[in-house]
Amino acid sequence: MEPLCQHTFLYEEELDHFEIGTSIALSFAEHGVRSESGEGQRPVALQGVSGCGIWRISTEQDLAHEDTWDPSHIRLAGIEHSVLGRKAIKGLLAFQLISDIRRHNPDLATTINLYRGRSENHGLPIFRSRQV
Amino acid sequence: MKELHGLDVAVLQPVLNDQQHGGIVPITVGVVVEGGGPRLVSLGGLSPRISRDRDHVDVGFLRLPQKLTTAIGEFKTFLRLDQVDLEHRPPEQGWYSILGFPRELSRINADQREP
Repeated sequence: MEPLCQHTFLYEEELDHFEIGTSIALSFAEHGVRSESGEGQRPVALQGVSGCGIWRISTEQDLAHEDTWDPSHIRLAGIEHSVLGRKAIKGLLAFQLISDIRRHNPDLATTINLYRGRSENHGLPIFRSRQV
Repeated sequence: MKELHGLDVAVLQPVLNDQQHGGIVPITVGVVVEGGGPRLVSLGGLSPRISRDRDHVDVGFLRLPQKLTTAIGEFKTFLRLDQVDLEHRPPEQGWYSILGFPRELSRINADQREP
């Protein structure tokens, strides 16, 4: 069993069945994918990698201040569920997954709301609002 | 506590065929320990919550009993909520990574499955 770790960026062309606020899509084209070591890499034919984690390693603001970045800035951004050829992969935003877990587990709502409130109200470094 | 490989992550392999399994989904978690290959731990017959809308959502989750949480925790580190992006807004620009086990690169050795 071989793990795959590839670095890429958001896919910003139009995609069918992409819902803002629910979906996340990453580029999986040849020119955008990087290996674990940071070198350009031809994407492998995944043949399915459903359930893999989509991790945000750094934001543009992090890149502008590389000296302040550390691994604590990494966040789980989503869970992959579709591979769209060699163009993009698509997943569900982590926010939506956690919302689903909260809905089905009311006893966890207080804890989840506490963390959600921290991210929305207290401006942790990694959480920044973005104009839509 | 056993050491973990750098890319050690949980692998859920649900068999989502309700007709075949009567709604009970056999799931294994692959734990990788230093110096050894992946070892598959059965979670038994648990019933996950599955949200499936082929266009937007295709995900399932299940709540682990405390006994299994403790057992897996011997090998794995669970993600904390402060490691998850909980903001309801479009994802930010930046570098992203996908980390998983593509079917193309995976072969399951049934001998490694726990009895």
